[in-house]
Amino acid sequence: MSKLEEVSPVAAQPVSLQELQRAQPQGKQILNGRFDLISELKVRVEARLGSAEISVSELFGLKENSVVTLEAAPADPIDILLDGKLIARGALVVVGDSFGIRITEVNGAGAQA
Amino acid sequence: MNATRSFRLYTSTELNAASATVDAVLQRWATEWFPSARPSNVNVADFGAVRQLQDTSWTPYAVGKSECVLIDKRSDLLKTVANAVAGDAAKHELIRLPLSPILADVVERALSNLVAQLAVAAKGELPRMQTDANADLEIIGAFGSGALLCEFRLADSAVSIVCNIDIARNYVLIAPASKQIKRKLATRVEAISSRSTRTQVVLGHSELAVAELVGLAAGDVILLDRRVGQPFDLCAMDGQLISAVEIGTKGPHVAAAIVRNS
Repeated sequence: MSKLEEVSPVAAQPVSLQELQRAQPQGKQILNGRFDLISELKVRVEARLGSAEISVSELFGLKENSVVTLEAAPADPIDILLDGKLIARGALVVVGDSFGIRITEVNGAGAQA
Repeated sequence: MNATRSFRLYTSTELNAASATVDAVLQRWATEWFPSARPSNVNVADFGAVRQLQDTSWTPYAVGKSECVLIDKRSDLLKTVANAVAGDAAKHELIRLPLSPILADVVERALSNLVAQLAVAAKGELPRMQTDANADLEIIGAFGSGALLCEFRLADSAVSIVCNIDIARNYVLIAPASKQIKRKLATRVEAISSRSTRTQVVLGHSELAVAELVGLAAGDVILLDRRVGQPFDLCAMDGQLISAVEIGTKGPHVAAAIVRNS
């Protein structure tokens, strides 16, 4: 439903914005912890098997079939990281033709360990 | 101790001009910095705070309120550096390291110090860029756009090298600055090689909604963006991919085997 024909171009006036003059913000936070507003926000988590410290010469000496020994043991849980911070741990599983992590412990307040 | 001075980088054009007619250019700079000085009479000894440097191999040809030019008396380092900057990279190149991730933190710290200050060291030592106490790369001179004379302090040995830092092409070109430095180069490369870096094996990623994340509980399964049969990633700690790997065990540890170049 176009309004194009209803308004004459002459009748359309420009709008100029005024400087906002306000006192200091005060009172309650209007959202008051309504995290449901961001509940659909997507975050990317990373599953890390383990890490190893190697020298620069070892790093540049890596070839096909070189083996890097990690500091983790096979029984150790896999870390789930969000922005580098540990949020959970779990075990590597296969679901159909994809890999997945079965969560065994969750870090952080309010979460079940 | 002494005044701190800020440094600026010279363009390679300036350096080429400098290497061709060092005296003239230095004199011009000195005139700019010391308007009251007679251009024909610029003398290191005039610059009180750096007088003690005269007996070292480094001569501050001109030191001003904001800038300093250093010349290596033994090897005409300024000229050498100018050549390295101007081109002929193959001739000077000895080792080329990816800037990231291995040296990125080191170089970043060093570069940030470039806009910082030159502190003229006491006891007649080399003038040094001020660096934070933890820096393992110390800039002792800056020549040209991105060319630095750096001192690596690694594995208990301090080594001086010229780094041509090419941010655009993402590498550090380490070139010998002089015969003296060349002789010590083996030590230097060794010193860098012994620097350690942490690597990690990443199994994959998953996108979760905040609601899912908040409700995450033991027993839940997060699907990764990795299919069975696909390799995993050996990465630097900042996430830079080093190589694809297969995982397994080696003795009591988990291990990763390089499967192909990435």
